[in-house]
Amino acid sequence: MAKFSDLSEDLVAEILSRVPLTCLIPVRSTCKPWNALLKKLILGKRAESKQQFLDFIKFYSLKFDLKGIRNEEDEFIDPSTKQVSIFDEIKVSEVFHCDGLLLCVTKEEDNSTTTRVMVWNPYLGQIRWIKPITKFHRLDGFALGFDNNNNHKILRFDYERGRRIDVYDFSSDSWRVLDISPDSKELCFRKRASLKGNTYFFDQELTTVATEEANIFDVINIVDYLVCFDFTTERFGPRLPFPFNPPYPSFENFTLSPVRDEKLSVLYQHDSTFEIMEIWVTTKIEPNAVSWSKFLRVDISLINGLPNDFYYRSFFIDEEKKVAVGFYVDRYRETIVFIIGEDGYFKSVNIGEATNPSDYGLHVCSSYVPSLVQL
Amino acid sequence: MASSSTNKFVLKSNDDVSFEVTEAVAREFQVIAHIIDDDCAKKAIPLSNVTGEILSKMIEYGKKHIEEAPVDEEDEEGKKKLQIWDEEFMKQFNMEIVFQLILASNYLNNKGLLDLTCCTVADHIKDMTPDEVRTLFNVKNDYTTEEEEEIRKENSWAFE
Repeated sequence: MAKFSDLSEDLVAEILSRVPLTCLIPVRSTCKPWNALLKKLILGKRAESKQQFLDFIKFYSLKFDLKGIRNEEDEFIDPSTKQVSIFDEIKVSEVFHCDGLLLCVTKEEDNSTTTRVMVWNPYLGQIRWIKPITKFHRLDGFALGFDNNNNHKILRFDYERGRRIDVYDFSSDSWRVLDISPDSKELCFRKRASLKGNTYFFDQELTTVATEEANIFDVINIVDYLVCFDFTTERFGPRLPFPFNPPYPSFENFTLSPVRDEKLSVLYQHDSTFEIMEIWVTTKIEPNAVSWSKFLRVDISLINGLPNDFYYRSFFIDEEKKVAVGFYVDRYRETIVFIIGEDGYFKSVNIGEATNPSDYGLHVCSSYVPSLVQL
Repeated sequence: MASSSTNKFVLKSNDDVSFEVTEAVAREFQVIAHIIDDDCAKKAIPLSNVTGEILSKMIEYGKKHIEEAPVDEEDEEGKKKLQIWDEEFMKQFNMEIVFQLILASNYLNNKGLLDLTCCTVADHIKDMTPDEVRTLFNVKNDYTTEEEEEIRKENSWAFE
């Protein structure tokens, strides 16, 4: 009788490459050749930049299969969501994804202003608590990136010291104070996205005029920008334009999202025309240059089934299928995935209860490829 | 020239079981398609690496995929129906048979069946312990106790 051990390495690879990324543990610990084979497969996948989308809310991972997304009845979400047990003890307020690594900011007791920061490699199952240079404040901003030599670093905006900028090096496990600051005070360090190691931030320039009352100003103009922190030069790049021309300064909804690790996409809704949702994607993106092309423009008021106040907190796009996929938490605290595409295409999937409406920031849906970086 | 739907071929397993199939079904297996194209298929085609039991299942799969082939790329309903049939088809086999189907579909070069059978195994091992995986694949644990402990520690909480 033939045995499994008669399988050639190619056939073993055929099988192992079909095991879901989130279930590789029994395979990795089986024997050394298989662990090595898996690393090879993963490197191959990284090269192909295969799309696997994971949502890291509460450290559950969800896998999206977009192949069947246009099929009416197909399940496109792997229902086997998994929770990571070590995080039972830790509450997380924010997650930032960079190339297979997740930077997590904890949520401490309600009245505490301090916070803790750790970086997690879900594939290798490694974690590193980042020891602070000065006490981390819950209003600090953090971003994770890497330079040209693949040295990983953390960028920190120190809230209590006038947004002083510190950089943490993984190789030396130490912090340095950077003698720089972004051009603008309005740089929004929570609206950002990682691309090719660098982090792109949302920025605004406000034009104000004094009013009769002291210390009160009228905003007469707002211009939105994108600013890159380059982890190689450790400098902010110039202000890069967005493709929108808002009719007047007002509340706007901006969300940034990487497209695989190649492009950046931005979702935009202006207050005066909130029902119009635009998504643009870069045709070129570098720390000092950007150009955009329109990906999708949808009048969401024409879509039956979308809540009135709908907007994506976190989203990603699939260029081939011409759809945007993202999360919305409704008033019953149910988390719903909405898929919106051209020609009025619309689909929603309820993925269950969100524990807390303030957990919005935890939805990180991202194209995930495992990282082999040791922490 | 005879049309492929009426042209018949005989496939012969390594334990001398013969199956008469239409050309379309025979062509589901690329290796056999090449034999037909090379005009070497005047009589029974011997398949030295496949038993009658496995060959009959492969022919069942091939027939179904010819008869129920989706009309075109857009035929989502047709694809769905075939997918459900595939799942039911695989349920009848134990791992031993699945494994033989992998070898045979690789040998006869049928990409659809190779994908289906590999997915079945992948799905099977995703919930197993390392020890169960080792037993199933008959591989030896070459980690030292320390290394194994190390890997277990790394993994004890990740995606468990």
